[in-house]
Amino acid sequence: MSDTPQKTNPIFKYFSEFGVLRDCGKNFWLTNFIQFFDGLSYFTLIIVFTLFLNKYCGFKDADAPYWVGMYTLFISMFVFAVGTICDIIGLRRTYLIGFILLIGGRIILGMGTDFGTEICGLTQDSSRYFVMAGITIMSFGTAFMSPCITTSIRRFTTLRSRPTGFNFYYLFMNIGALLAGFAIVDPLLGWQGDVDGLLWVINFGTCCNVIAFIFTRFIDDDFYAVPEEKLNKKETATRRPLQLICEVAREKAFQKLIVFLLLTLGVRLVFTLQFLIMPQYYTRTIGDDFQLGFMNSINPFIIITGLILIIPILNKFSTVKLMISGMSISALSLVLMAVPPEWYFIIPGIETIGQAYFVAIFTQIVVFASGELLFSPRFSEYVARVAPKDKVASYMSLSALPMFIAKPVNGVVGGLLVSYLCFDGIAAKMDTGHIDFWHSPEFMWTIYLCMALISPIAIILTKDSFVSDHPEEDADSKDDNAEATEEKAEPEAC
Amino acid sequence: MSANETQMTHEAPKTQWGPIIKDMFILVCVMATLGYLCKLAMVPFEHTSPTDSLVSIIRKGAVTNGTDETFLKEMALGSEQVKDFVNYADNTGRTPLMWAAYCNFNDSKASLEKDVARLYYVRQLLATPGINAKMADRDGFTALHWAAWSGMPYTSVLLLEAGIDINAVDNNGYTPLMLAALRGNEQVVRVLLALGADAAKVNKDGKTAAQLAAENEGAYSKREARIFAWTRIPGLEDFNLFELIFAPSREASYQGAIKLLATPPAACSIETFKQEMTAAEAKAAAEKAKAEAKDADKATIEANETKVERAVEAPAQTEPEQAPSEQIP
Repeated sequence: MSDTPQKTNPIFKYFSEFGVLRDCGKNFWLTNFIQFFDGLSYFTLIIVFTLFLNKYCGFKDADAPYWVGMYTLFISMFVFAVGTICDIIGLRRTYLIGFILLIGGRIILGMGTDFGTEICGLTQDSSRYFVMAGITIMSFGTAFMSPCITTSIRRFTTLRSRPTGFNFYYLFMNIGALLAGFAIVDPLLGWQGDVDGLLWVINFGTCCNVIAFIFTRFIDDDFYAVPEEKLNKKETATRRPLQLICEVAREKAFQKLIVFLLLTLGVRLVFTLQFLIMPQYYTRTIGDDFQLGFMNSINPFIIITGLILIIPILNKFSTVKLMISGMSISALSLVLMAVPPEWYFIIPGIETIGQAYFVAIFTQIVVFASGELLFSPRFSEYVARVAPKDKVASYMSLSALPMFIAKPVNGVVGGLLVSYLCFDGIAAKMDTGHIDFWHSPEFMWTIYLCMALISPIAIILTKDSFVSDHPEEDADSKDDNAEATEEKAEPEAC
Repeated sequence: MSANETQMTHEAPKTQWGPIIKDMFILVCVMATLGYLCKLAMVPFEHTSPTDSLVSIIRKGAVTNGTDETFLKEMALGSEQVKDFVNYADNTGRTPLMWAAYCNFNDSKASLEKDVARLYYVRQLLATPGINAKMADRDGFTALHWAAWSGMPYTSVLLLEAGIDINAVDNNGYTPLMLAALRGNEQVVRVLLALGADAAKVNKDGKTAAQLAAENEGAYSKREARIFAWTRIPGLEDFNLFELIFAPSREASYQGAIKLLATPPAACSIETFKQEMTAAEAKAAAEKAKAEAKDADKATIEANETKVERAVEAPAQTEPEQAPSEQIP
């Protein structure tokens, strides 16, 4: 075991760290199972959400991404309140409330349209209100999960095992995301068809949530791996949800952080396109039987591989440089979809528009995920370093603020662009030469490319004013907080 | 709730729910305002058509016991509220009939299944008083163009029966036969050729249906993207990226279409295809009944299968012995 080849092998090195998790008891593993099943449920939903709303519930092209955008906004908003509630009422009760809302919301989402039209005798237009109610309730439930699970991981790990515990949690979450695509979504759509299959995916997620809920019943609410932390809980329990904003709004470091976050907004919006627009783009340009799940599995596959093999090497490089590189790669990946598909015909073996689109989509996903791999962990790390020692968690939570405005706006813009430039049936019109560049999906991607490129350019231009290689100098303390490592592992899911 | 809350809060005695609820209320208000403002901003640019719901019902295709009540209700409601509802063209110029004649699958078997599933809607729409089946969208596509591109032979038969010109050309000179050939939709090519489509017509680029089929088949059958060959991992090494968008059924369908265009089938009447359509519908219904029977009661599977087999056999016996070509898979 102690031989040098094994020590230098990054895969061995990565997994050997997990040995420390032997310190963690049953509650830690239960939390990971909860996270796994909840993650499966979330990722299967998010892969097909726009398609489900559009095809099964009859939402218009513009409305479907808008509601998915609203769903992610609701989650981000409610997360603020849930952290405080979790501290007050305890984990088990928070899980109980969260899962009741989540499962209830999902059932309403799945059954809403059919219940409205077939049982209540409503028109399809009216029955969509059930679906909207389902989305709102479900988002509240989903908002409970992320803070609850991170609190559980923190509580059930010792100080020694905590960073590894979060790494394991992050790995497990990505394995869930990986499986959600090719192992769940594709088989279900293949089995039940392109429309009914979507409902089956939603129902599968609901079942996963039920399983996760059963696991929560075995969690010991009073257990703390570090007993001293139980005392701190009482202090945080008195905090108001919006108190965070009041506490840090006047701090110079926070103001600088907000500017930095606004500058990165362009490229971070592109991250949300994966579930807002891409599903419709894929199925409309390539076909309704396109293997959507497989394509969505590529991203977590690259993230998992990167976590194990690449991230330890990247830690040697400057955070800001890596962020800029990651942002630029992710933004530039859109070039692959913005160029006319005919350009791909110069590559041997690509002769139809379908093949060209497919290669463009595949390459874009790979390039984009590589950029994300460089950017996302560095971004979280940067936010943590900007924060004063005692306010890392607050800064991390508030770093989502600019995205509040961006998410619904992105949903609206994405929906409208899809309805104009990637409408259902566009493949037939492209086959027969009726679509010019200005009315094509490529123009849509050109618009997004311009938006995304603003971020790396802005960061480079303002590098000396708002972005620094040593952001901790702006903060009150030069020390990194242990919590930074923990928070870094929080999902970028929404 | 209150009894429980008292228990809950004893762990954190200083908790004040008032400010927390107030903050949550602020959050909900901010969120609702933000969402509403975004929706308001969207309205002027949004495409809305009174037929949106009807189209979505057709695409969902939930026919139960030979009828779809939601569809009928929407038709009745739409006809009351909007003049010439059934012919209403949306922002792309498409009518509900054109939407019913559209699907987009790589697997030609899936297209044929969708075709059978949509027949109910196409019949209902064509039976609606005042329908103009010959309408074309903004690019000159008729419903028959859409059905031909989508690979829906039976829908094409119904549309031809409704009087759509079999050689109608779109703004770029494409006929339905060219679109069927371009996509390698063998069954549609067979129907169109047997019912008198002109295979000699050329599009704006001077290409015939046969040339379009040959060009696209050549491209379609090339499968060279073995991107993981370098890994030398058995299985992964042979993994072909393009397999994900290639369906073997489509490739066979292309080859069938090319053969038909080279040697057109004998002319026959619409009635021949309508008989075939009835058999296909009966087969689909029997398969559905078989699946439902399996789910409903495993103990009675054998008895149900006997019934199903009889149901399949009955229409098959009424088929003509020499159909123009093989049955739909």
